[in-house]
Amino acid sequence: MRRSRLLKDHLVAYGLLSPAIAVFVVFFFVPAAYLLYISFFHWGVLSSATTFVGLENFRRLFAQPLFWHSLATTGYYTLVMIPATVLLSLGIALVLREAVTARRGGVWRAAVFLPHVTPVVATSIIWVWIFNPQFGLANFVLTSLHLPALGWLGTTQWALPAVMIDSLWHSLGLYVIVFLAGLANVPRDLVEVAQLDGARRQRIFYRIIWPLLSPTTFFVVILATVNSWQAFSQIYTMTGGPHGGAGGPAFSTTTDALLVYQTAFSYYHFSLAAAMAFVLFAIILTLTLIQKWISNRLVFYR
Amino acid sequence: MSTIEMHDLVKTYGAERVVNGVDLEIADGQFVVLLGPSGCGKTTTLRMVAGLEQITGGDLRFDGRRMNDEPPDRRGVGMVFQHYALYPHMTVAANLSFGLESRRQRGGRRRARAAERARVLEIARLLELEHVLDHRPKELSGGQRQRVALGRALIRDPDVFLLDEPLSNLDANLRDRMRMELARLHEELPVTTVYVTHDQSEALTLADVLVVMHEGRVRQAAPPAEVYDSPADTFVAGFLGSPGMNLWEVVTEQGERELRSVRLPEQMAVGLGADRPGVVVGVRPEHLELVGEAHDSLALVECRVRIVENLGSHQLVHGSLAGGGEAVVAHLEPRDGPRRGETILLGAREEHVHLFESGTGRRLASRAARGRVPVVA
Repeated sequence: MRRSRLLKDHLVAYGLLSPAIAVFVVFFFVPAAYLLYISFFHWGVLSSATTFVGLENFRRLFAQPLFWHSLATTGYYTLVMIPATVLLSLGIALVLREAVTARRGGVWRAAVFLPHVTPVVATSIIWVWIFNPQFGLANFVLTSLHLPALGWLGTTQWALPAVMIDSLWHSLGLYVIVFLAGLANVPRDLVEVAQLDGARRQRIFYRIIWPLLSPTTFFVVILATVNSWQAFSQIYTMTGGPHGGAGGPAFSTTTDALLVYQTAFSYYHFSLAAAMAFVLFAIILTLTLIQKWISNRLVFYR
Repeated sequence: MSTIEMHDLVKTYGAERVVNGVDLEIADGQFVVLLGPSGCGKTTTLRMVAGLEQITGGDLRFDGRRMNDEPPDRRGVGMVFQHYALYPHMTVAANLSFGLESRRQRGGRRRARAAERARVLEIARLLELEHVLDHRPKELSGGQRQRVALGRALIRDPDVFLLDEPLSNLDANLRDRMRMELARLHEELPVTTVYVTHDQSEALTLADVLVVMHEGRVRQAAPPAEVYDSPADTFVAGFLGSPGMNLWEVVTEQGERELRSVRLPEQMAVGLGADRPGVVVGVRPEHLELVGEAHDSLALVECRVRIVENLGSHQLVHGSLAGGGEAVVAHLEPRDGPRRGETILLGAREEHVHLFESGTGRRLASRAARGRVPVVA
């Protein structure tokens, strides 16, 4: 009697879960497993001939300097993007929160969020114009401030920062909204009590708001890490993807997502790309686990 | 220690006047309770005193010093919030010492950490919190949280102690205990206190001075007994007491003491206004009793009984004036036992009959007092 009841409960539960599980299986688990499977073969694109090569693809991958270079590039990109994302979006959120009660607070919030809903490829093309060394807005601003004009996308030094600026512009809106939601959850009472306790703005921020915001910050860091490590569209578009030569100049913007794409669809070396994608997956998973481990010590959940 | 003066204090939000000219003087060490229905401006007044709300108009002075534009931390106030507002990520000890540390960093007079710890322990002992100093607020009971909030407000020896409905989140049992606790605390540390509540029993038991507010104004400020025994107007009369005072609007003619179903004692009716067409007669339910026959020294009310509530120690009789529809509530001994539908005669002694001006609702000089004290015209 009890057994059959339990069975029925389980059936109902799995029945209700099945649509979600199906989506995950079809679009995540099967492709991921297939990817791992491919990475053990030499896989022709046009011929059906496949040869099992074991870990050969991984060996070749690790022997390739460009792979390590792309990892370093991605690491650089991510290490700049995370703090920049957190600081800028939190800063904007703090300013906007003051403006929320103001008459046109909603307009400002919409303005900040708007870039996030624009198509990346289209706006990245606009950013290419902005970074045009001769006629671009970026250099116009720099020269008006009596700063030297930069080569931007044409130089190995400034191409990636140019992409970072575009990415930040595009993604900040989402993080600002997330931080605004987090700030709205910090009770006004607590800030008032701290004021009465004689705490200045800075101390209120560091001792009250920042700790209570830590779950939000953690969420933003995870999201920014994953998005940075997977950044593709804006890099591909801004560095001349449609005309070939994406990732340049001189591989200075070749992140590993871009390298995976090029290996697969420019050089048609699918199995090597599969191995690379798997390594990328492993890196992101590891980073997330490390962040989770750190967060257990730093994040305060109410 | 501080005196507080409020002079014509006003707070507006846009076109809305929340506090509408509050005048109040609070003596050093006094326990003042602001009482009123929700939306009467009592919490806003308290927040203006604390400095959490910008004062729109008027003057706020502590010990004669104007405080309008002083930031909250420079006013020497300690405040307890309705929902405690404890820092959830800090231990009880850290909650208590946060204010001390904030000041240490600014003030420059570097009090040793040891002194702070000693002060935390002292407050913890006063409020029986020693054994929970390492706990987070989440792990505390409602009463303990309340005491931490009190401790945090008291730890810096505030000149002014502000409490915003501090007991409203506790269950009834605990509320009674904490109320006594607060009374004891005020005796031990006689800090000037402003306490906001909508609970009459808290107000009546705790207050040195009871301030009844309505629609952003002070209706009466006096010792609780005085507010209860001689309410300044019909609002205060009807608000205080449970149930509140019976109020009957009657039309008078000079010298006339038959006022529909309400008849005033002979002494009282004398000289009752030709210049005033109407008067409101007020009698508290507990001052009405069944009378067998008319008596000149009593105010008499003819009442048709509608509902009788038996509450054990007494009966609450709800009815209406026999001559008109106005409600009558009387607190009677259980043995009196009138029945539903009966018409009964209720009487009240002269000193328990209140007269208010019709229209303004203001109290008319007590007839009973006039009888004893010669009136200077």
